[in-house]
Amino acid sequence: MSQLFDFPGGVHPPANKQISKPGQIFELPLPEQLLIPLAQHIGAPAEPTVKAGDLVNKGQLIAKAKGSTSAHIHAPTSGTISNIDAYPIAHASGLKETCIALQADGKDTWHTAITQADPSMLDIQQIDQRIAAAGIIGMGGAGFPSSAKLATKKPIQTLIINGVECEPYITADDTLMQLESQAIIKGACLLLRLLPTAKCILVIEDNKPQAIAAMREAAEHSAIEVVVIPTKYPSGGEKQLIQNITGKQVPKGGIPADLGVLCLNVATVKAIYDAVYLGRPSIDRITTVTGNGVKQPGNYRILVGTSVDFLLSHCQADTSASQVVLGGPMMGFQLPDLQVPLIKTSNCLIVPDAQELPASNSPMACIRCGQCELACPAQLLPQQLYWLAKADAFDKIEQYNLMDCIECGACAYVCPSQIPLVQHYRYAKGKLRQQALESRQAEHAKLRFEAREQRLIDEQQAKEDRRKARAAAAAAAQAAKRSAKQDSDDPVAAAQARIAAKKQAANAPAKSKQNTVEQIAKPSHKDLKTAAAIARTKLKKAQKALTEAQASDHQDSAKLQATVQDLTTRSEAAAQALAHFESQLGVDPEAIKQAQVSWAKANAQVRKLTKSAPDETADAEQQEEYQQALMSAQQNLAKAQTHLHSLKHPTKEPSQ
Amino acid sequence: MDILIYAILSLTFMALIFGAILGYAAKRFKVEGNPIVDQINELLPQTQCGQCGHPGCRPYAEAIANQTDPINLCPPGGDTTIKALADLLDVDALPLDAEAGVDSIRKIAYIREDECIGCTKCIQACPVDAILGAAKQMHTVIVNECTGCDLCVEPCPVDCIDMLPVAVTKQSWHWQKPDHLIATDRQPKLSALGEDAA
Amino acid sequence: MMNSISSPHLHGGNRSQKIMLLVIAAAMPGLLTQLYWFGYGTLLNLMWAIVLGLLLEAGVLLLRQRPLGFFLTDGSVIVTALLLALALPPMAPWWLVSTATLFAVVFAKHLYGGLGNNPFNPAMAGYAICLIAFPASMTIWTSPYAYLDLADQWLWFWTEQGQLDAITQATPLDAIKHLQGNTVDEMWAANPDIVAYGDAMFWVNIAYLIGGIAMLLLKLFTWHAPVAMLASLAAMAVLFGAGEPDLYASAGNHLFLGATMLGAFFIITDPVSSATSRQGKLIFGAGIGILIYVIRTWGNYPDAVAFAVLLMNLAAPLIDQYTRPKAYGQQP
Repeated sequence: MSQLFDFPGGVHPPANKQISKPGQIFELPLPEQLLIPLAQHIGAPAEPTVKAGDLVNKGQLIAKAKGSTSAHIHAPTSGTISNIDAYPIAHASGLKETCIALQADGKDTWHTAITQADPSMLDIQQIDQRIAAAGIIGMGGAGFPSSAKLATKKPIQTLIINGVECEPYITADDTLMQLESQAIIKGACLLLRLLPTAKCILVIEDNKPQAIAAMREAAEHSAIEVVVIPTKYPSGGEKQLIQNITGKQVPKGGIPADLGVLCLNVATVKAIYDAVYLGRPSIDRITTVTGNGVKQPGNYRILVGTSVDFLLSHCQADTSASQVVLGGPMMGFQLPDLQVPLIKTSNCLIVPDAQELPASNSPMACIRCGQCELACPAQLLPQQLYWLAKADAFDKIEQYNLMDCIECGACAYVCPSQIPLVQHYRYAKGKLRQQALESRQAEHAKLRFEAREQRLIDEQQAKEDRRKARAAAAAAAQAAKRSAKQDSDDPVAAAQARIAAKKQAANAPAKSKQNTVEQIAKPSHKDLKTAAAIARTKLKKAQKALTEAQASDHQDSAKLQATVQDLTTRSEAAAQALAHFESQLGVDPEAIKQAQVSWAKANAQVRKLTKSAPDETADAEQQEEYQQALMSAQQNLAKAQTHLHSLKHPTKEPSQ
Repeated sequence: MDILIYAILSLTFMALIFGAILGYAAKRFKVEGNPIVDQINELLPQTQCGQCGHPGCRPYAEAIANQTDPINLCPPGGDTTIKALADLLDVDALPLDAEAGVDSIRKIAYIREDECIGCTKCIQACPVDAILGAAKQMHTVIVNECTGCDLCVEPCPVDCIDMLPVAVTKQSWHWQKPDHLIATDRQPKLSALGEDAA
Repeated sequence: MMNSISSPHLHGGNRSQKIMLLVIAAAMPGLLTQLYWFGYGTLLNLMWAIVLGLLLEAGVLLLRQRPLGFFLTDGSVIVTALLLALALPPMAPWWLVSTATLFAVVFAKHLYGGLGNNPFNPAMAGYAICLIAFPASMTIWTSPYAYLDLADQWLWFWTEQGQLDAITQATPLDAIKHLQGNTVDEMWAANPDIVAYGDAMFWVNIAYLIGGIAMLLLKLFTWHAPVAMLASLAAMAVLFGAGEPDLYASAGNHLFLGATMLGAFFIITDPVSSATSRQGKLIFGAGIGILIYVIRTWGNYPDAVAFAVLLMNLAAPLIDQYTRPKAYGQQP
């Protein structure tokens, strides 16, 4: 590496890294219960492949990646799935999300499918597969699924392995580099096989001499170059690191791959080594427990899903003085609840004593001193963003590139007025996202509304057209009839009318008869209903034909009359049969309908009364009157309800 | 004295000429249609809820454009919309009209399906066709399409529609605006005192 | 929802009060040098301006219903009073200092919304109003060495009684402005007292320069505005002096006479009323340098820092608008 480039801004907060004794990993006893969130990564939450009561072994797949940007989740130990439900998760909001609860059996038995492999015998597809199957995500904090990152189609010239760990207090990566340097280098060599055009650079900040020495020694005969950069926060931020190493800036809205760069955290590379060499999925990690409130600070190996409370009580932490911070002091967040589980990206827990991370003094007015601008690594104008966020000027704040803010906190760190700048930005960002969503929804709703309006207009138009067409046809028929009469009987028209009438008269009884036969053979309720309805219709039609025939003084009218009479009796019979059946059944649809209507009426009455409740100023008499009215309405409603219920659910079984 | 007369005459003459030019321009370059309505409509939240007293957002936009209605009648849009409208129309932002309703969290309609009698009244009321169902069949709300306009609640004869707030998720959650005052800000207690004094 | 505090949870311990105190400390060499050459007048100005400034601030805060406990500690009034006292002539009587302070604290600062919201530099606004309203009183400067003793100065400050003629004289910038047919060199040769005055001003300016460099090293502000101002002032002097060096003050004169260094390091670096971005500060400083030269050379007033600063204060929002830096990844 010939040249290092700097990046703008940055601050030098006190590192406080010695508290957690880097270079030593402490083991934790097996927790009894683990809560494994389904959404530990960026992207769609994984889908559970197990259900409550299932027995699982350590490393067994328990939730499957959904879509391309997602990651598998595996059982961190062996035991029984006790529940899949919403539990509070480690998030600043304190919200609940779906987690798989695993009751450990204490045996910690590995799943049988987990096998070691010699990578030199594996081809690239197999390596890819092993990485994807292990559910590895970016362990530096962002949690982007690694297999999705490695699947880039863009040519990669530089693979940067991020061992910078620029945040104060955290020493998890430092420790990992000191103790697992060989594994990291082997993992990096694997990645170079996947990215054949890339050179690999491992970057460490100069405040970790032991890690640098260990990595240099391990990398001695490999193609991996270890580069030491000066300590400056936030040099470990992906964009800042890329600028530091390549001198180039990731284009706005782009990703590092646009520059031919791919960044991975050292812990991620170690996880890739575990996955390919040992076949082990990503189920544990190193987490720093530090701060003056902890009696036994250090770097602990934790299983994914271990509760914060379990870890802290093991470290003898005193959480009474101040709120526990998950993540570093610059970008971490205060945990609203200590029962939440640690996940693949949880790199640090800080338990401060009362003086360590004081809540900021009451903020003063911004004096536009410009310190924040000097500290901003994203070259933004933090004070302008602050003014705009304070004034809710969201359109403008977007023009000032708020969305490029990486929320590193450098501006708030240097602010002499101690204004919570980052929170202002986070608020404005949230609002901007919300507004974008709402305007998308509004646009969508508008389209649907307009489509509906158009449809209603079309339907109206069509109805109108049909009505007009009918009117026109009727008028034409009338005219034709009139002219026929004037021409003293048009034989054709008369013949047609005759034929039609006859046909109907002939068909109707036949069908009605058929139905009656069926009704006897298989008297189901529905059939009876249909039969009655059909009989009614036929009767009506025949009646119509009869009146028409009579009007035209036809000779067949007498015959038709007989038919109609016959039909009438049949229809009545069908109706009776139906009524009889229904009375047997105990269900009376007419009654139900009526009951429903009366219930709705009673309900409306109650609602109306509730709405028009007299206010407190009304006198006692009015109040009482109202109360009585309301009570009687409610009684009516209750009565209607019970009536309706009794009708709908008759106790008597139909006797057939 | 002459100078005074000349000045008056020449100014009058110029006024007439420019007036004529302006009058001609107003006729000649008259903008057809009323694009301001579209602009206003763009700013409205398109819930089509009718809480402003108009059947939908566009009629309200027209009413604003004709200056028959104030800009503060839209509860779903809330203060943001009022501010945007005030900016567009260059008028003072008014507080939300309390009679039109209160600006509240986003809600979505849910039908208690076992109580639905299939009357289709809500389907007819829904301005965005977000309710699915047929006569005598159970209805349901397509959650993604519902704008939370509230219009289906009233027509339901059996009162089986609930307006439930949309649950906050990790994705939709965001940080609140820092609420603590700057030390030099007017303190609430003091301001209350000041208002009493005034 | 619980009210959690957003990151960062660490703070650098920087406070506005600290910045104000450092500015006051950095002005001490200049103040002492000024006292050494021009007598106790500046000291009386300073005392009175501070006392009155604090009282006025308290009064306005009460009227604006703001908390009182806060203003005493923020130090911003003291900085304003200090700058006013340094800028006003040593022979300023009490009412002149009062007018300037009143205008600075009440009008220029609080009527615009108080600390952080004032578009104009308060001290310069107070100074300018006095320069316009009382030009005669604003130009009485004592000769170096010939100043009054403390008792006489005290009497003068409150009553304006005392022998003035013996101790006052035109300032070098004034003398250069009114050459009356002589060349600059002839003027220097004819007036040894003005040469002595010029020497005194030189040392005062050097003292401010030292304080300014100290603040620069402490990173209280960036180099952009002061350097741009001094460079543009010098460049103007060289450019226009090249043709007729006899009639124009030299670049050295411009840089080390009058309130140049005070302005460059203590006035235009006031963050509230200046441009924001680094590029903007360059333009802001350069504009002030050019305006100082223009007003000194062709305007009515012998010195011009106050007017130049106020004019550029007006332009600062516009400069900010057009000098927004490119955000990370936003390539041209």
